[in-house]
Amino acid sequence: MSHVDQELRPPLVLGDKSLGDITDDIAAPMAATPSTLWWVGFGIAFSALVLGVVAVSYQIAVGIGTWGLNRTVGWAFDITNFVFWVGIGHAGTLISAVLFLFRQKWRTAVNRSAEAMTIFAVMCAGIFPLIHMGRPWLFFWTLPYPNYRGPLWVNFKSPLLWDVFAISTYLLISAVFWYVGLIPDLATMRDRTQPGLKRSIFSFLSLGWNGSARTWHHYETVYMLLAGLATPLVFSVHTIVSMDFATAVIPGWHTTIFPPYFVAGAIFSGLAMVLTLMLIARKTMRLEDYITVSHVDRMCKLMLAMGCIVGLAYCTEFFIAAYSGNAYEQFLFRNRALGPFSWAFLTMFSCNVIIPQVLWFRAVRRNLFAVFAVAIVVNIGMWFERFVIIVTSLHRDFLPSSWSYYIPTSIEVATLIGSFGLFFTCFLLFCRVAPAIAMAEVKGVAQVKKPESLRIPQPEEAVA
Amino acid sequence: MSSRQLIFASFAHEEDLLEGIRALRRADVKIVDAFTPYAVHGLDRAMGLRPSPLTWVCFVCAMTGVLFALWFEHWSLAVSWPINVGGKPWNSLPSDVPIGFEMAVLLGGFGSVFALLGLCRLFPGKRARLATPRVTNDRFVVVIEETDAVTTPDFVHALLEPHGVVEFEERLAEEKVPW
Amino acid sequence: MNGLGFLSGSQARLFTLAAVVGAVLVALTVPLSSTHAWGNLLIASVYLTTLGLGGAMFVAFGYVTGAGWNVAFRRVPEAMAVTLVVCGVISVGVLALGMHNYAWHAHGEAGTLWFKQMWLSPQFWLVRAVGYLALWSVLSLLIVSVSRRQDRVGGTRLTIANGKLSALFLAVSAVTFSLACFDWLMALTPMWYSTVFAAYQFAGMMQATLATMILIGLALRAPGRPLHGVFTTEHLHDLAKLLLGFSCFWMYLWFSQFMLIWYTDIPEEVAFFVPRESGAWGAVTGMNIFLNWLLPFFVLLPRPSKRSGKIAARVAGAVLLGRWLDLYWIVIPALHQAHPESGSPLVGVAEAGSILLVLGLFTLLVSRTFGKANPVPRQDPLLEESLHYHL
Repeated sequence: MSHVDQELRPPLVLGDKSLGDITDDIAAPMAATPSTLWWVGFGIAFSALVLGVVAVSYQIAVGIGTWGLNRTVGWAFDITNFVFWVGIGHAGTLISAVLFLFRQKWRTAVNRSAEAMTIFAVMCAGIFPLIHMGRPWLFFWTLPYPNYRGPLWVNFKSPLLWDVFAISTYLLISAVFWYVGLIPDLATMRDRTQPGLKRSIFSFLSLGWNGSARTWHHYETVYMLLAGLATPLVFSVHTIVSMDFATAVIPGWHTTIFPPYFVAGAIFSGLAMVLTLMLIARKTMRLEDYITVSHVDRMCKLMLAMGCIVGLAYCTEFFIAAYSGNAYEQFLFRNRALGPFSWAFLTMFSCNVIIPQVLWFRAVRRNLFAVFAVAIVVNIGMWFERFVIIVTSLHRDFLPSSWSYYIPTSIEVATLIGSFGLFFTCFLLFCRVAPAIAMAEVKGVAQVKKPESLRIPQPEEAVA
Repeated sequence: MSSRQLIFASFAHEEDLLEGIRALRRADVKIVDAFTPYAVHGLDRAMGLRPSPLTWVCFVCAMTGVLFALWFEHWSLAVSWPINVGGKPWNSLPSDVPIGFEMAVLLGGFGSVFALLGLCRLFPGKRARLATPRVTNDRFVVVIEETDAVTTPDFVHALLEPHGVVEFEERLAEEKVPW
Repeated sequence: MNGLGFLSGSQARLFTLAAVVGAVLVALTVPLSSTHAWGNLLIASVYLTTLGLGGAMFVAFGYVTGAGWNVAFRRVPEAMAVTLVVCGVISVGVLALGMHNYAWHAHGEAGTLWFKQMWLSPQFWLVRAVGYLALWSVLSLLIVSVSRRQDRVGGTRLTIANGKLSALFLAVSAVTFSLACFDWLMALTPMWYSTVFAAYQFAGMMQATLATMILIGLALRAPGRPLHGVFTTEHLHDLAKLLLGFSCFWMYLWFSQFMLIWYTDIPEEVAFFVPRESGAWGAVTGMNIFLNWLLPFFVLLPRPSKRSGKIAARVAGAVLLGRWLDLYWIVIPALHQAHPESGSPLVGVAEAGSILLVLGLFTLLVSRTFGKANPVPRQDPLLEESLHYHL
């Protein structure tokens, strides 16, 4: 490879690895005993999860009254968390499916963990509508099954029902996509594990995979099909989430840009979460040769692009409110920026639009501490975005006598903490039981060079 | 039960495998299969595999999903138990579209994955038949059947030798093993 | 290559004839209804301008994403980008000529709000249009000239420089394109507003751009033509795939806009769709969806049709017609609503004129600008990668 190509096409794997090295490097963290750091992380995450379980149990026992909702603000913390977590998941699908279709080979370093993140994030998201039902054990009423009440069918015209279908499809397809991607790696793990329980499990899950070219041929086709299906799926999921709001006649909720704007925002927040996790994982799991600085650089560029799209959408909303001449729209946006919740609006705007602009500078994109800080800021900002959209649109409605404020209760905060606990507990466990990087895919893009010594065939050196 | 004489040739690099396979195909040697640790770009072309029919399975499943969902939504809310929601017409196609789309994706995705598992005979608990234990790590293997008097091991070895074959062996396999 | 670019003398005469006949046909309908005739000119100028801008954006997306596959035929979208200079001047002329056809100008129907009155005041409106077009032209000319300089200089430095320039261009044009769509098209119905309108127009613009590149690429890949052996089936496959993707994206945005407005049923919002729903306009709506999504989606879905020049060319042609129809569907009902006095036009004559004008003028311009540079960016470091890749 010439000097010129090196500059525009930096190697995706550093350190001149052989194929065997790649397997060893990626499989190593799974075989080693967990580090102290892992245990500390797991301890914190699990404690948070326990706190969440306690809070949710209390809430289910006592009722939705334990939340800070009131007559005016009927949706707040709970739905904010729901939209936040669904959004986090979207970057996983973007990286695994959209970038696959665009042949962005660098995705192979992060797609496995990003897909895992998608599944865990969607699980976290799913909790919130469930507990908001008040009687979560009756969740099956959302499914269209023949029943003795008529049969009274579910309301297919309701965006909330679209959500049921969208989120469950998303969870199922993401899980299948993830598992299909894992099969070859599970086979690799099977073949390098000593006989025993672990090996039996890998063997069971790897479905008898033997790397046949014919199987790979069909496998590649299915992988491409799943990517082709997951790409519009990821659009549809956040589109439908946005329609939970946009099909209402409430100023601040009803605006036609919501579908693409929510999708961009979701990917933006998800990329921030991917970066947060990757920067930790590459350090603690010694994967610096696979998740390189140039990988981080590319993800930063993508995050910056998404941030700019989100910023453009914010500005478009304000512009159209001014342009429309609609007094209610104008009041809403003035109130959003300058009203009682202006602190939330300012947090959102600076975290999502202003601060990420530092990513225009290459020096910042390649400074991992700076990137980590920006990713955390974007995570916070995107949570606030949903809070701002939901709460500021509701708290001062058409009837000034019912205007109110919203303060979350400790139960709601504990539930949010619990969802983070669930997410990180799952993620830390995942790092222990499955290869955190897609080995078979990294090998395909690593451009492992043939050592000069092997250029001449040496059959006598064959491993008998 | 009759048996087949198979030749297993291993390589350490994907270029070697591809070149070897091309050499074999030029010499009209019948290739049973090849085994690789990852999806080698261009291997399907080198082996002359036909495009996978799974795209059609996916298309048919997805169309079934969308048509069924649209019909069911219409039937349940306009025929079986008509409900007036917000004054929307009985025939509310626009609001039926989102679920129609989700069902297309769900059925298309699951349909093609199950078709893959069926077509390639992959199932939980299946015992893997490995060409060599290192094939899921860093070895590339091509399997050749000795169909006639010309395809002797010596002949094949001579063909593959310039392409860096690192391991070469003959094995007897049962007829029904679908390598 | 002669001054005509990739067209031969007789072909150039044919396209000149098309443009002249088109202009004459539009002019003929002026006495019947000047509003209707001008509406068709507006469609033509927006069509031409967005083809140029789309070409520039395609080049810029390539640089920003570090793509290699599109390098071999990059001179095609570059040539499209350069037409922006001429098309921009034409657009300013058309906008200035027919400003009185906008309802807010004709009837002072800009509402009583200070912001709207300020925003839709004729002078400010026209100055903005000049500003957008000047910005687009200057930045895309800069990108193209850097790309052409690389033909002499070589090296990676200019590729990296153009990456930065492209990022700037995309950021600037994202904002200005949004405003231009609001100004030129959405403001035709001054009391209606939709925040997604610009994104929806962006999808349509990219769809038409991709279709144009497919047609030019196919025309130039024949033996003896400038892109013979350069524009490969792999390029065609990728462009067709992108066309399929953008068709779906267009449908997604069209549907999102429609569904949210249909669902909430707010009178000032449905006012846009009601006149486009019934009668002949209902058929136009259906045709619009058919040409822009249904046909490209189902035809281009199988792999062989994306790799077949014949099929891809036909779909590209349908999409280009669909893009024209999409603009027609936005512009003409709005003008008729604003000017019910403008009389019943002879439907078909001005429309045919507008289409011929776009076809003739754009082909001549793009051929000329294509002839001004090497047909292939021969010193681009990624050219090799682009010439020899397989899907």
